[in-house]
Amino acid sequence: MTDARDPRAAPPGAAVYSKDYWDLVLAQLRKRPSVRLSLVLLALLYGTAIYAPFLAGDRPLMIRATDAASYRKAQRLLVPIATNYRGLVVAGEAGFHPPAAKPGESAQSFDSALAAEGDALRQKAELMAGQLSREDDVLLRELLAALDAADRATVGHDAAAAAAAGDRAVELAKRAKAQLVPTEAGAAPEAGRSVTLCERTLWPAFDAISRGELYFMGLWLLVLSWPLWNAAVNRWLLRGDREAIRHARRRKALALVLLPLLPLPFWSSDADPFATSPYKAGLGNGDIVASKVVFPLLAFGLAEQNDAEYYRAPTWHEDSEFDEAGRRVHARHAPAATDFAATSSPVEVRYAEPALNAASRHPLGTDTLGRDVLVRLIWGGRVSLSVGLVSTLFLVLIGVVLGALAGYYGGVTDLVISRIIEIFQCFPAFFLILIVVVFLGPSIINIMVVLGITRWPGVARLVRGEFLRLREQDFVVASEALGVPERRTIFRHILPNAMGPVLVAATFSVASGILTESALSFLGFGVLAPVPSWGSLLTENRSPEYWWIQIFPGLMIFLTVTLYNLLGEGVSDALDPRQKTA
Amino acid sequence: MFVYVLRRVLWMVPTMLGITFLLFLVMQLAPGDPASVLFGNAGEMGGASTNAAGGIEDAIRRFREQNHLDEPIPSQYLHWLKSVAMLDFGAEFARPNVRIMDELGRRMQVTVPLAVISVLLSYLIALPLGILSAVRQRSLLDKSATLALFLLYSLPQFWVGLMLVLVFGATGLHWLPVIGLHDKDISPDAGWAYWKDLLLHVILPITVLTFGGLAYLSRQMRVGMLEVVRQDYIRTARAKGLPERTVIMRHALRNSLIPVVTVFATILPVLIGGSVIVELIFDIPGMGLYAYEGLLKRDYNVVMATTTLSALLTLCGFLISDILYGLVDPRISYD
Repeated sequence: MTDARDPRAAPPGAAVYSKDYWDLVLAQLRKRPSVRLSLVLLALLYGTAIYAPFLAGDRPLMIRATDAASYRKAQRLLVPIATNYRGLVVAGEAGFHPPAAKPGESAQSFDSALAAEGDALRQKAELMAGQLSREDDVLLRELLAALDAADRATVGHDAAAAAAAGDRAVELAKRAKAQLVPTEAGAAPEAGRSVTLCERTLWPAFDAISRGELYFMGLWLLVLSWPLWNAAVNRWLLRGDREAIRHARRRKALALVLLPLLPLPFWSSDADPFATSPYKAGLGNGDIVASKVVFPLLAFGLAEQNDAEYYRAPTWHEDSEFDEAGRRVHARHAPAATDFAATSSPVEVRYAEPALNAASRHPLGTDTLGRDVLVRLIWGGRVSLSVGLVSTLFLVLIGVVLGALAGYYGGVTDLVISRIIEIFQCFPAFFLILIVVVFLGPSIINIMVVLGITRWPGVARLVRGEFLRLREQDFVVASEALGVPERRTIFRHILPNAMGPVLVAATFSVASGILTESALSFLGFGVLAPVPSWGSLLTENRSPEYWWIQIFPGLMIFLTVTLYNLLGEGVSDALDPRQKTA
Repeated sequence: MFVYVLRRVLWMVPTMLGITFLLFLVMQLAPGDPASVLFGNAGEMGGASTNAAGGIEDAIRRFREQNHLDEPIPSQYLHWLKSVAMLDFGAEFARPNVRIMDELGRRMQVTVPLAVISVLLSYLIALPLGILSAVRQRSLLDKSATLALFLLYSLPQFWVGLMLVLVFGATGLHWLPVIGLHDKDISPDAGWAYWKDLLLHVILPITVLTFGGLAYLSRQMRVGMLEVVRQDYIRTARAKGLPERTVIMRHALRNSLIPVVTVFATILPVLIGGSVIVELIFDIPGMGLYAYEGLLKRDYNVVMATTTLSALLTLCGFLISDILYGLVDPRISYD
């Protein structure tokens, strides 16, 4: 406590700052190594889940290459598309006969048909131009210009100009087909007949990232740098004024809660992580000639199956070897007959993958369909880690509001809410969750909501108790006597003093949320099939023979839950230093 | 005391009504039709009685009528309540000649003993452990026990089950059987051998059911004991020269039991939920497995029966723990 007479405490004339509840709690939290340790490790875990596309995937992070196959394909299609386009332009809207519409779809309009053809032509031309040097892509640039001219003429209803531009586009396309033939590797180009393809630099892994993912990647960095910007805000924005810092604390906490929830209403999975990209195959068969490729650390896709490699034990393990024909060499300990039929097709080691019997090929083995377990573990963390957090946010929100109402107003409100709490608590929670999830259908959002809705009573009871305790204290009476509105009394004055136990309960309930989600997934009622979560990974095969499928996801759950429990323990110690348990 | 228990039992009635109606609502409002699950499978398999499309539709209609599925929800609920009042949970959808009440009775004979044994076991191990590590606070024993229990507490139950199967089952050490409650070829008349077989079969399931509650209880016991040991009356007891043993066992123990006894009410629902997982892993034909199968088949009758029963068990757990609360803490009166 700051003593006003203490000369060190405050310069004369400055306002005297007295520490409040949260000052003391935060100071205690900073002292605890277990809190720091678990926070750092949890941040790392969330980081691996959020940055999964860069750690594991079959899309290169960066590739500098010539893609002769797609260039040839674009070149082949250039003339037919241009001819179609010219046909549309020349016929005009009056002469347009839409192709027979499929049932359930409206017939294509002239504008959309023209736009579609124009876009296709542009795309092909740009794809080719991208791989040509500035001298060689003149034709294509002229073609693009002709297209623009045709578009302008069509909009301006200038039929003659449009037809001329269309004719020019077709002529240019024909010339491009004849003159822009790519040379074979090593051969010198013939002027006017063939060209050398230039390399392009692409960022496929970055291109596949959705806006939501980008948001969380940024948010994660923001959270990691919290000590930095927190200090900066306190120093520059608030000028080190401790009263102002205390007032800002509530806003910071609110931001911390709201920022992860913000994208939820706009959430759309515009990128499909299950699409396996053809880069590895193209690089392998020479369609793509690359001078530089950077693959993620683990060059296996989330859903990349490998028929010849299913149920492969971790490759640092002696039981996982393959012979030259791709047959699995059975281990000494393995039972003689299994339901696993040795495949006769040799395992194909594609570009960027570790060699067949390299220890690092599948560090945690492969699953039922030959997918890499480590890769799925990294991606599976997204579901498991987010379910715990989001469901806890839900339950804290519900619990705090209902508990505060019951504790503050008492009477009938209290009676009704207490009865509801009683009903929920008199019920085997896991059973209720199981039933609701089964009957509402399994999806990640459903599980989050159900976990939130079924587990709020604990928090509500805590908050109610705290409110009953604080309700009669002097500062509340003073606030009421001053005519402060009830809402303000509840949320500004009582609630901050009641949030300590809630913080502890919330931390533990993240842990139990993760456990419950994994148990649901284990029973087969979790997220839907191709999406991995730690619980569902574990249950892909329950036969003890495939131990690696069961051990590693369980270890991840165990680790995360332990960290959250450690954090909860630390927070509860910090709130009540007298009850030191360690 | 008697009046208190009576009042609590009466309070259970509206609570049970609330729970069951809630469940009923969830099941009825949810997509998914038990009739289509039931007859969809039969149609695929080419069942003898439903081989023609018209036959299936007819059967579905009859099935819905029999189970009142074509009536509005409140009237369905009343039907259900009426039959439950007569202690009848109806028949299974898939096997109309099996009364759920009989089946449940058989399955409870498996689940309830397992649950009771694991509750007793966790108290038997947790209390001495908690007391010991509180009395010898910061000793090596206390530190290692605290750490071990902390880790145990974070372990996912189903994973522990799988790992135990892995280690002790046929592919690992081959020490213990991991499937069911009995060997196929053993008869109840075998006497000693029968019981030995049963014992071997239940060791792993009981371990899985016990460890979570054990860890939780023991931590509670330790914290409770540490709290009590700091009180003035303990210092007084020590000051007047009582041996440490008497101080702990006579003076401190009773007060430190209070939090542990109340925990009883929270362990029971966890055990009931856990029975689903344990019975699934070890293939034990108990209530949890029954509920799981009912859920898979969308069998409303089975799901309602198992949940009602488990809610009832939980309520009884709360009641027992409240009564015990009064027994260990005389300051509490039941008026």
